[in-house]
Amino acid sequence: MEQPDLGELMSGAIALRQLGKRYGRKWAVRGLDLVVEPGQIYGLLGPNGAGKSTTIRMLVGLIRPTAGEVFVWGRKIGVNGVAEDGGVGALVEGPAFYEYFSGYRNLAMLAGLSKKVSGTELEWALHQVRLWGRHRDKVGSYSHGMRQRLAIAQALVPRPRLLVLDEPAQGLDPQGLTEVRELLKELVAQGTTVLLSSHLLHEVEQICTHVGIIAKGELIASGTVAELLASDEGYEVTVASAQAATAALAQMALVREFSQDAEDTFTVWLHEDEPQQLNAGLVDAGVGVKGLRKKRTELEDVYLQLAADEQPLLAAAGVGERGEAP
Amino acid sequence: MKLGRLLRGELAKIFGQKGAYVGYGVLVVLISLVVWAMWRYGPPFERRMGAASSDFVVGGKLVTGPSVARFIMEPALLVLVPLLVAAIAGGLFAGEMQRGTMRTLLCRPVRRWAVATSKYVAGWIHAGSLTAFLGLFALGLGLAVFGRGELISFIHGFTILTEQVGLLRLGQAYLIAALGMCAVASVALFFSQLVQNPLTATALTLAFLLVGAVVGAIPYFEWLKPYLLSSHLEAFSQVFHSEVDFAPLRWPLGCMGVYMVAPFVLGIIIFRYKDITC
Repeated sequence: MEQPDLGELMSGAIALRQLGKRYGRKWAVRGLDLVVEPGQIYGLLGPNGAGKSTTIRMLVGLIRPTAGEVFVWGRKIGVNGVAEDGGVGALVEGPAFYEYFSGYRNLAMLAGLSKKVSGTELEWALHQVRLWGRHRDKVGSYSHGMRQRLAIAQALVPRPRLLVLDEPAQGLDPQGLTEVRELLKELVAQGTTVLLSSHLLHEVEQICTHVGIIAKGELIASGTVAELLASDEGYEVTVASAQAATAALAQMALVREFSQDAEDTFTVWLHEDEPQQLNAGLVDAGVGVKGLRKKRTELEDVYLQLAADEQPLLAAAGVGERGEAP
Repeated sequence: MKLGRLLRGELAKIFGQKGAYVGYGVLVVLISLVVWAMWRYGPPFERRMGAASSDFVVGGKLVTGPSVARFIMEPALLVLVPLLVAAIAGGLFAGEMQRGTMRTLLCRPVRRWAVATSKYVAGWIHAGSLTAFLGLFALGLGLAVFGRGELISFIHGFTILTEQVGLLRLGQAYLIAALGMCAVASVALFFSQLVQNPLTATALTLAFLLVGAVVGAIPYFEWLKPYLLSSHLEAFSQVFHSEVDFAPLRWPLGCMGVYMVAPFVLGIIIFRYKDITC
């Protein structure tokens, strides 16, 4: 990955430069360069233990980096974390509140540490997460989903310029997921920048404009969702004879790579986007082509493919063997 | 002012929990028991007085409100109140780490020194309030049951002080005791920063006091005794002599002051650079 230059560091809502955190001899995060531009919804993806939460903790100042720097709105974050910038709302690793206080009191107490917040603003946040009506109940009586919604509400007041959400979908029901998705889109439309981490690929694909994939503490891919999906587009070919197709595909110069997904189905990646030549080549080689269509790659495919190199377990879960073209 | 808001929040957290009132309840029970026992059986030193009755002629009351407030000090302030103070102060950092609320708190734009300061100050206020409650409730109940009169102190010698002087000395003694309890709170808060379990912090504080008391009692470590916090928790008793010499009180007061401030300063430095992994 390329290192962000000074201009990017200063203009980005978030800029991480060569960020690293080491526990003993083990690096939890290493050499992480990442820039989130204003107005983006940036999704940080990665398997458990990849370093997403450590990155977010360094970003908000909960833990100190062993190496590198964190910039928020162009300002370097010091030992006081986001105290340097009052416009950051954050939810880090699940909800944690004072159980013997009501949801409203928790919210008022925490928001009051940022700046004086009006009752209207608190009410707005509680309405956004469907907690208005239960706001006078003690948090101890809340379900996990309600606590998660309260955690999102506390990140919303006062209205942040930058919202950092670690696994915001955790514990939410389908309605809650949809509402949070809509809420984030609305906030971004009003000028808020969002960084969220998740392992729910479908959610990230639906909501994020940009994605970074992190594995073993390193950023292994980054870009817009469209770029990442485009990077892995291939063609699904259904044939009459798999044996003949394997031989033909291995001989074709047009074919960059292929994999057999089922008994009669292959995914084929081409050097040039010319599927008609692929079809003609197969027919010329005597392979009966039953079907040929552009494969719709989902973020999950990209994620699994990228993470496969980093984590054998993920490969076993979802990535097939690939034959190499000549 | 953020520090003010943080302090109000810390006090709300302490006094918003039912657990905080257990301490006051325990003191109410203890004082009530002592007062009942004095009412039922007379003052605990009456037998000794009886043995020396040929030398004493007792006129008036032996037990008065101020005497109750004086009598309760040793049993409460050497073990019970330090335990109650440590139980609350020990949870101020460790409890938040255990529940994860520390990360919620530190995600807000607050400076770490301010968070740590608010916790130490809240711990001191709680320690002071518990000590003041002990004195005021013992005095109030003593006055209600036994009425007004001289302060008769029979611990570390036998002293009779007029009511006015007695009340003044009681005020001074409870102030000194409050300083000692604030020092205990500081030690508990410091341990609370090093662990993630409030019970561990409380246990460490009590172990610190107990080991100090044992070490101070061993002749080999006699030289260490003046520096131990446990050696000075009883310093308040010196103000109940007929004539008070404040000069010997300077060292215990200074020592308790150091035990109160040093963990606070060190704690701020540690907290400023601590990784919040809860």
